[in-house]
Amino acid sequence: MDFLGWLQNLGNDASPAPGFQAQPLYLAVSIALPVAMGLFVGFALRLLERIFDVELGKRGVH
Amino acid sequence: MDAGSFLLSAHSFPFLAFFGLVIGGLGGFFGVGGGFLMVPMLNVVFGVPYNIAVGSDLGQMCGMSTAATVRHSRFGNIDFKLGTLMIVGTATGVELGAQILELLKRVGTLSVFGREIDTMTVVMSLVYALLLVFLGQAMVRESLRTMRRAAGQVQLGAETPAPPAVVRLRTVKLWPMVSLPASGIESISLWIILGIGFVTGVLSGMLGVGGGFIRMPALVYILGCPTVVAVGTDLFEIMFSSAYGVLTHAHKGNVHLVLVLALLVGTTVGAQIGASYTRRAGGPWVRFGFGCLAFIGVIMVAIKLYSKLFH
Repeated sequence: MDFLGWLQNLGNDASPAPGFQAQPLYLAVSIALPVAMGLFVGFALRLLERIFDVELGKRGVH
Repeated sequence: MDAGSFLLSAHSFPFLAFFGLVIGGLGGFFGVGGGFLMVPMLNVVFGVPYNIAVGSDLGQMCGMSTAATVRHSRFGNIDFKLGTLMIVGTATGVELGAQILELLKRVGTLSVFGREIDTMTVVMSLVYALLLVFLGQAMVRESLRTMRRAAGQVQLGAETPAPPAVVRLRTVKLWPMVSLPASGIESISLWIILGIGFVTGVLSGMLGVGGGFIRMPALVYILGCPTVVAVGTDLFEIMFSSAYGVLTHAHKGNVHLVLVLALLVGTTVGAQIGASYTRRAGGPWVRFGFGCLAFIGVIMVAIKLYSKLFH
């Protein structure tokens, strides 16, 4: 099964119905996915800025 | 409606990523996060229930703020003590905001003009409309003022002063007092810091916004933080508060993982593209455009609500 399909299945388990009980794996992926991607993007941009000696677009997160 | 019943699947990934790219591009162009546009537009365009849109947008925000904090950390403009103290207030607020959303979800439907309509949709649409009106008018007024200043009608260098009542908060001596050397603040009541965090936390947990439009002026005007420190600390704080928001919303089943990934991919690229175009446009015109965009958002939310009520 591909990664997106796996995420989709994991998400399907997370139906916000009464009595819903979140699975540990769903909770872990919910937080790990954005943090891992944010760290990757942040360090990749820093590396690119250092290599090419440029400052890429700044962005707020408000 | 649950997470599996609307158009959110691996097949819709490209559309969602493109949507993230557009919102991320607009956010990058206007120098904001775009959370206040993301959530209502996910509801209006894709029909994503507000609770799922808020939870998933917080995931997107967590990733973007982590990337921004990593980049910003090399400038050393983060007051870690202030950020950590504020997280306590924000986390409490986020939890309250998420519980309010959960309560709205449980209320079910209400009868409006003889029609049964989802309570959460009505309340959240109205709250978003008010928020967008507030942000839009503030941005348009500020941009017009800057344009008049540039044209010589307002004295150059004249900044909008903080209201005296706001500045007076800085002098409140309510125990315990803390000092923030990194921000150059000798003494400030802990309750002021927690209060700022709490208010923005409620907005974040309920609406899926970062709350920087309140926290930034609060840090500068109420606490007296230098602006660069306020920016860095705000990013640091959003990273943790959005992470807490993701956890508490995931616990309630409100985080859709495919949606989070699609939005992250789109906004990461879009933000860079948008920010690069900002440099080609004049600052006041960019903010004026942002204000107009907020009003367009209000119209879209109003049309969606109207169609639910009367069609």
